[in-house]
Amino acid sequence: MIGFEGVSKIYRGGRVALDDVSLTLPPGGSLGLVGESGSGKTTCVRLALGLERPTSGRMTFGGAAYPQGRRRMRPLRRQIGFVLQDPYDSLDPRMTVRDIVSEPLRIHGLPGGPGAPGGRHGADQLVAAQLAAVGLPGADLRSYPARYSGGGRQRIAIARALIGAPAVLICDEPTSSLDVSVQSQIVNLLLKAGHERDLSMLFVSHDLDLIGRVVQTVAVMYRGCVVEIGPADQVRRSPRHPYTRALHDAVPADHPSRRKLAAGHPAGPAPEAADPAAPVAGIAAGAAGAGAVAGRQGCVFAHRCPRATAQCREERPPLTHEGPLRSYACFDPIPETDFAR
Amino acid sequence: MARAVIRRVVFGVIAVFGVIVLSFLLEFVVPGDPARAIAPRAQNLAVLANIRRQLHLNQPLAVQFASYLGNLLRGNLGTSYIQRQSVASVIGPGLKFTAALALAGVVAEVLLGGGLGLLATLFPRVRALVSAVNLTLLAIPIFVLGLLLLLAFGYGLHLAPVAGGAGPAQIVLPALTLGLIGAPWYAQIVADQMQESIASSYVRTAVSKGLSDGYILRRHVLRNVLSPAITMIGLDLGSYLSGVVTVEVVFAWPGIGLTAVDALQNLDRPVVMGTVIVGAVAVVFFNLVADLVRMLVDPRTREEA
Amino acid sequence: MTAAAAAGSGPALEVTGLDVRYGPVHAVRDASLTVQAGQVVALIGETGSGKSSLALAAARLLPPAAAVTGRVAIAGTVVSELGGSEFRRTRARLVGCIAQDAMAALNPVVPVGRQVGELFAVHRGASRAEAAQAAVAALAAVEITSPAAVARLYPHQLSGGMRQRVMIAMAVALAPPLIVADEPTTALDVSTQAEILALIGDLRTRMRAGFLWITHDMGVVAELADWAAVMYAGRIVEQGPVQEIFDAPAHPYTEGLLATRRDLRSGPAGTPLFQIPGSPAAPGEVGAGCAFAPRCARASPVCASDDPALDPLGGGPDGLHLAACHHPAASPGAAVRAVPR
Repeated sequence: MIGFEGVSKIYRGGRVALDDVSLTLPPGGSLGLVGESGSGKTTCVRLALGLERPTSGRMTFGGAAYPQGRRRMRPLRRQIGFVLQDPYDSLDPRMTVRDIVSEPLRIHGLPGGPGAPGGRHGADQLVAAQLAAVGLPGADLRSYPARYSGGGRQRIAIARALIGAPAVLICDEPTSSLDVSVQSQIVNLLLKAGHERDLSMLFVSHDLDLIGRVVQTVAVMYRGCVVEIGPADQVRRSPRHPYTRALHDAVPADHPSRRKLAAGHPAGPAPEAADPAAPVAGIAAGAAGAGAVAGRQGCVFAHRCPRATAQCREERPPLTHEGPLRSYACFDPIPETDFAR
Repeated sequence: MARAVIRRVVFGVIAVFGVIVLSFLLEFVVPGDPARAIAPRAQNLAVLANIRRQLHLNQPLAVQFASYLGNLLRGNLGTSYIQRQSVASVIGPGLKFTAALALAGVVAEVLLGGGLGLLATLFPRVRALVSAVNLTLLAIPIFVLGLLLLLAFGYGLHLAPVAGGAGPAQIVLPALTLGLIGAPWYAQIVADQMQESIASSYVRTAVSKGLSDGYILRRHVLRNVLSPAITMIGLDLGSYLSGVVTVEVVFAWPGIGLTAVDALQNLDRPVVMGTVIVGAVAVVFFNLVADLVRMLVDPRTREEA
Repeated sequence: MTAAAAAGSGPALEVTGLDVRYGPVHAVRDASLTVQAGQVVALIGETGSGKSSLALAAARLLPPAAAVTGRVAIAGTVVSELGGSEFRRTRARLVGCIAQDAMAALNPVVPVGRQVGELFAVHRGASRAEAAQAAVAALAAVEITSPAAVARLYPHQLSGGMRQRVMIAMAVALAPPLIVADEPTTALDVSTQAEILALIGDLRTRMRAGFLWITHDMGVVAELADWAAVMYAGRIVEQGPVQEIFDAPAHPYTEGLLATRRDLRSGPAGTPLFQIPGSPAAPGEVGAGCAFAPRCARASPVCASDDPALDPLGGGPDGLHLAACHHPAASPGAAVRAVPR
């Protein structure tokens, strides 16, 4: 459905957001992007939404390349619904719930929008139906977002994302700003919507556990590169890339008797010395050709990796494929294990 | 950071150049014949034609502009049509007086406005009163205020001289006028920034460190208030140096504002252009200085992405 | 009060009958809590639980508009009875605070070394040079490499993890008996959080301070806490030794929080997540009866009319395990049934 083919994105000033990223979101499938700040996962979302263009490489939608220009992007945008992280920022506080949720109808001239059969009244019915579907039945269409809690606002955002019957749903950390007890509700809502409407779902998060429960395929990103990709269960239980393993190990303990982080010094990767999202000297914007971005030598994780060798620092490890769905970029991957939980 | 500075200087130069071009062209839109301005009583057309030739007025526009620019770069602003002396000597004296008034005016408005803002922040009960004062000052036209002050303190209370001149005693009222008119802006900035600072997380941290209120105000809050105030000061200095015409007229302050008005009425093109250029350079220069000072004070503005 | 308590020893923090109101909103209702020296007490809750208000009230950092009643004693000193300026003089020696958002909590225009050094200059009468030296030492104590160089930097030039270390350095600089930490790792990447947790684990073995650690993450609780208190809608609804809270949670809310995390971490992929129905109660919305009743699977008529008191459960192995519930869980591991959605 959505494809990233060797995509690199370098911002002015030399900041490398993505470095030769190749990903596929199959129709009806779900892909999760896991990474921390500076990993490039938000940039992927922006490219997928067509808000920005890659510096090199190709983005495809339904097999065809993303079109140029806003007008030609319109029909594509109609097929993508999105839910973003901050429920307090993503809804215009001056618009009523009705206007917010029906906005995609107006923009894309869909049935139920003004001018269509049923006109305004038709839109109201659609909006009410959507709100009921996201767990806000009987919500006052004339109310404003301020009346709702974080969870309520995300539900409104989801209703807005789905009202245009899109083919793809993109979620960028939809629950990170929410209370713990509400997070699972929202995630379950997204899953249900995805299944009922047979949506392709791109789910971005920093939480490896959450992603692993929600999507079929997980891609782990670090500093603009995909370091590991595979079925969710496998990546969680048997990470091959040292960074994935480090992410897994960094999650706090499940029980006080099994402390690992605060009980002395865990043998993990060295801490990040500088801001991973900062520009790197010597990289000019647009310097990316095919393949890896010039100027970034070696594996992007080498400076922190406890298993790094000289080769890791000089050469960029290629993706080792272990079957059609599983690959990782490492010269010395962690052997297959299964973490008993 | 050097790159940011250089970029600003370059844009400044471009801006000044743009002003020169525009005002040069404007002269040709304004009705009136400079030759007539120079020799108003000449009857003989040949005399007028002669004048025009001497002033190169019959040459193509581009040539005139080029020669003007060439002179400018050599520091020659041209010769006044009316006063038969160099433009520099016409503007020069006025510039000194305007500079003094500009400085005095800015000092007055910062002190008055800053004071009002501080009052409003530290004494919440006075806030409504300060707002009312601000609103009144904003609403009064500058010449009305000037005249009122002149009437009250000059003619009424005999506290200030009324006969004109440009000494320290005479600068008080015009500076006060400027100060009162500009005060509400500074009051607003100071009050807003202080409010924001006091409610901020880092002030809470400072409180948790057991620092006294006065210390927090001085060391933590004021520095953050300075940044936008500095920008405004730069803007004000620049614009006042272009000549605060109204105030100068009301108080008969011999600055370049007055000079510019006279020159316009007499169609003394070189002098008009001279004042315009001086004004443009002043604005650009003081904005640049303000930016630099702000970069010093607020390290967040130093690195430009 | 014994002579020993009066002499500045005794529990790091002792809160009795604390009430916090913001106008009509009753944010904290009759809360009582003790933090012993050298102990970490986790204060667990979500939005509206009152956890931040409780902690800020203990440190007397609430704005004057907040009405605070109750008794607060830090290392024997009854701070709730001290006058404003009297408390201000001693507060940095009594309680250190770690805020959640280090970027907002540090003065953006002052180098961090100076911000740390201030404490020594103001409270220990150190000269400028001495304060600077002490600041560098304080930064080194929180495991910042090249502390002298970092001391000259401004907050926006540091990474999130470094900023948080600076905050911690400021809090522990004068070795106060109580440290109040308001979700210091919530906004951090998981690997950065792991570093900070390791640092805290290290610090607590070196210091004798008591920690009041606010969080909503049960994993962090498992890593750090000796004792846990769960808050809901302004009241402490359960507290006890952390092992017991994890092994035998009595209050349905606690059970729900634990079950949510457990399911997230080890549930089968592709299945809906465990969720607690409803949303966290806002403090203004609480009526008579138990605030959690609308979300509780075990609720009965008495729950709607009678707000349960915080009572000890029948004898735990050590210390008191208290819960405010009419139907506390009968046996270890009795979990609330998942409510499918």
